[in-house]
Amino acid sequence: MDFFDHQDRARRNTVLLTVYFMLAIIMIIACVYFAILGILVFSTKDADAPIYFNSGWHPELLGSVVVVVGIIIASGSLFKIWMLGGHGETVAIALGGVKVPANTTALEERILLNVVEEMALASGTPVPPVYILEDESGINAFAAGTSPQNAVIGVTRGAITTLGRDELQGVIAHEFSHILNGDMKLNLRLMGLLHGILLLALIGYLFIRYLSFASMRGSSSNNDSKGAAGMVAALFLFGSALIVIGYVGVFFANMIKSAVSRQREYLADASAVQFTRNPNGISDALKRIGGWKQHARLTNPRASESSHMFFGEGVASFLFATHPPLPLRIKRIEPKFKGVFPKTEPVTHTVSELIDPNSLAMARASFAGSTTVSEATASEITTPSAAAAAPIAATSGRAITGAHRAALAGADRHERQPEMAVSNIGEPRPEHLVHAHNLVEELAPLLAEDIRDPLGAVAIIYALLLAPTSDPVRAKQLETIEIQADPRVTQEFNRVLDQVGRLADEQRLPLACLALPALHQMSPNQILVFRKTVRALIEADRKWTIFEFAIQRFITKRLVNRLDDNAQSKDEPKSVLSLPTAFQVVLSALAYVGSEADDPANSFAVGVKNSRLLSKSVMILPHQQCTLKALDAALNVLEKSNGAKKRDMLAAFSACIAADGKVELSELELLRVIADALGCPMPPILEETLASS
Amino acid sequence: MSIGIGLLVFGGIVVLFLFYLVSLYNNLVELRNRFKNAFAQIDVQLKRRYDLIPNIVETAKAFMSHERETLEAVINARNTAMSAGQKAAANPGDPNAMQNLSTAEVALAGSMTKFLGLAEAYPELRSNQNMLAVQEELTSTENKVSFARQAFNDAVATYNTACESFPGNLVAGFGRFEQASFFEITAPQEREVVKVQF
Repeated sequence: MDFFDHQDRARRNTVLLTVYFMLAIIMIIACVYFAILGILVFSTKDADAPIYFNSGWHPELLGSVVVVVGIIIASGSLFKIWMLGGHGETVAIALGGVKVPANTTALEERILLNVVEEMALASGTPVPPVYILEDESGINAFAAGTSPQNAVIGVTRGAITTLGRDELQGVIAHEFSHILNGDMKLNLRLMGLLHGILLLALIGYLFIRYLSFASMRGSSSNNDSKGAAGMVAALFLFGSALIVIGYVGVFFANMIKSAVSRQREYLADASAVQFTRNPNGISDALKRIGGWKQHARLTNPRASESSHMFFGEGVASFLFATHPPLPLRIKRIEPKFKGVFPKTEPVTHTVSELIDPNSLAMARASFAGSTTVSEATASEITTPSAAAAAPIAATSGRAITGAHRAALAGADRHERQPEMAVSNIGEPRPEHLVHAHNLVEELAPLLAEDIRDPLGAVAIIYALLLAPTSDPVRAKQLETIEIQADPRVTQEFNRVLDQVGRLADEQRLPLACLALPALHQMSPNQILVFRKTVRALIEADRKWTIFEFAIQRFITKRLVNRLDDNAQSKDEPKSVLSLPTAFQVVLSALAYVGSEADDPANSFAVGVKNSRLLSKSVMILPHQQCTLKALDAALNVLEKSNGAKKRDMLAAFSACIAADGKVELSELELLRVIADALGCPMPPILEETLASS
Repeated sequence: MSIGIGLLVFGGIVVLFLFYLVSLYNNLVELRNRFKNAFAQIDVQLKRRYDLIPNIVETAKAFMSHERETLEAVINARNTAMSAGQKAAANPGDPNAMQNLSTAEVALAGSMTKFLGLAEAYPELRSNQNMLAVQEELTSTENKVSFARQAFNDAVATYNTACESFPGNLVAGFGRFEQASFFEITAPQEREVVKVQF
């Protein structure tokens, strides 16, 4: 099962979930009906009641029960789904999470952020914000959100104080598996739906509390004490009945949760091992949970409605556990495990944990011979320039350097396989993790620190967007910054300019991606100023490069989306493209980018041949129509299709790229931007795979 | 039965209204969280600054051994600001804490300006590599504090507006949401050009 199958399976499971939910509602309605009936029959059995209820069939009662219970559950569920709004942040905050600032100096928080950054870079997802559940001393973690693009990771304070780096990495890898497997959206839906069922228990509970409070107050002065007491007793009975019924609801809720979430925990564990190639990390983390006095317990009362989203069993549940038992989980990874948990003690973190010792060792071993490769490729990237209002040009605006020529000479060594890149989607491998780790390590200390601060990040992005020194546009861009950006930003910008200019080409986009968490910390006003300046810098030369397109999609678009769900639609033109037309636009653009002097029409035709979604007669669009604006709009349309269609489209795109026999890094980068736009996180393109293949 | 339906509709409206109130409450909680998180940003950079200052003073001491009062004034101001910073971090937006921090920061800025002004008069100090490096970092950190402060004040403004305006003010009273205070540094010394006086 690949990434796309997982996405589709998650969608199907949502349907299954709804079916279970309906069944549960029916059972609850039946319970409430019989309970009320029972109470009425019982309380009117003696003849002094005005109405005598027989224990027969009462359709009106059933009708009212259906309506009332239905409304309560429906409104509870709908309300919760609306409040959650597809944001993981609401879950994190409700659980008492405190956001970790991107530029934190606390050692254990820094280690946590480094681990999360590496995972995000390696899997091609944006770096998610990280929250710490400060009041929780149990060892646990969760991931919430609806897609890899808006995921949030939460970790308990207990986890940070007891887990070493490897174990933390195992836990975070497990959470990333949930993100990549499409489990998160389902979890959030589950939480929303079940809230309705749990609402009855909550109402009954509140009822009882209010009643006991009121009856205590009223018992001192009572004229008609017998009647009043009788009424209170009946209401009390009703409240308890509600609680009991509510717990019937809890029972069914847990059953549903259990049915949906247990198996996936095994899958997430297995994916985590695959991702890190380090089974010890996650099995050690599980063992530590076993040996810790609080285990994975969460004390927050809101935790029970989100218990299925956590790494370990956070809330004790009768009969239906949301997670498989610890020993079984460990045995699946480590068959030799004996079931004995050594006592867990808190760890003291050391500065050496900021870097990953495993990655470092692996890196040194496998990259010993390939330093020449990375040097050659540094100047090899041809970034085609394109106009915003003009079609994408295939040729580069930069002169071909001597190093480039040398690299091209060894062209067959640099044969890249786009199909491999596509097959990596959603399934990052340990090599990607090592690569991500090295990327971050290689960044100059100055940049590594500044990228994590909002002001520094803004300055670095501006610096990345500057044209090279030889280009006359650079002067214009510098002027724009002087005018538009405020003086603090300009000062920082001048400070980082040199170092950014010296970066290797393949470091530039990853550096920009690392900036995202810090950029999110800006206020809405600051974000809007940033966006305006970025646009001015990009449009200074009236041409778009793929790098600039990537910045726009990876960064500014995400910032604005998180800012306000409405701002996005205001800015973008309403797209009325149909799916096949949008597909045609993207495929055409890709064909033009990759073909240089060769035959774009041929590449396009190859792409069409590899897809089942386009009829064979579809032709490549004229060059003028493949503007970046059109590409942007088309991608927005394609994003909404299902997993199988996306797999098909990406297969067509990679065939198109490979059609002319030469695969440039720029084509692969564009493929990566496209995959990201479709919501399919693609791990970075590795140079080493070329050398070995 | 029409009474039943009327009752149902009324009940429905009540329920919807309750949900609306809950969403207002949650909105205020979220906005409050946002400005608290925004303060954490400032705090990181303030701490960095407080750590850099003893560094620069030590470097300068070697050359400016006669200017003891100025150097001591800087260290004292720094210590005051540091403790004010800790109190503010524990309670961001609280009027007292923010006022104290503001005052302490202004005092610190004042003594730093004086110190740097004096340092200009010592050419060996001016060209000392370590001094230059720390000065650069200090400027950068101050810029970052300022940027983060702007974000914090924006977040406070949004929160305050939500608390004051209708219908948020209905819930704000119940939920005990108080107006938060901005972090202002009102003195013009903040970015004053250093004047050397003889």
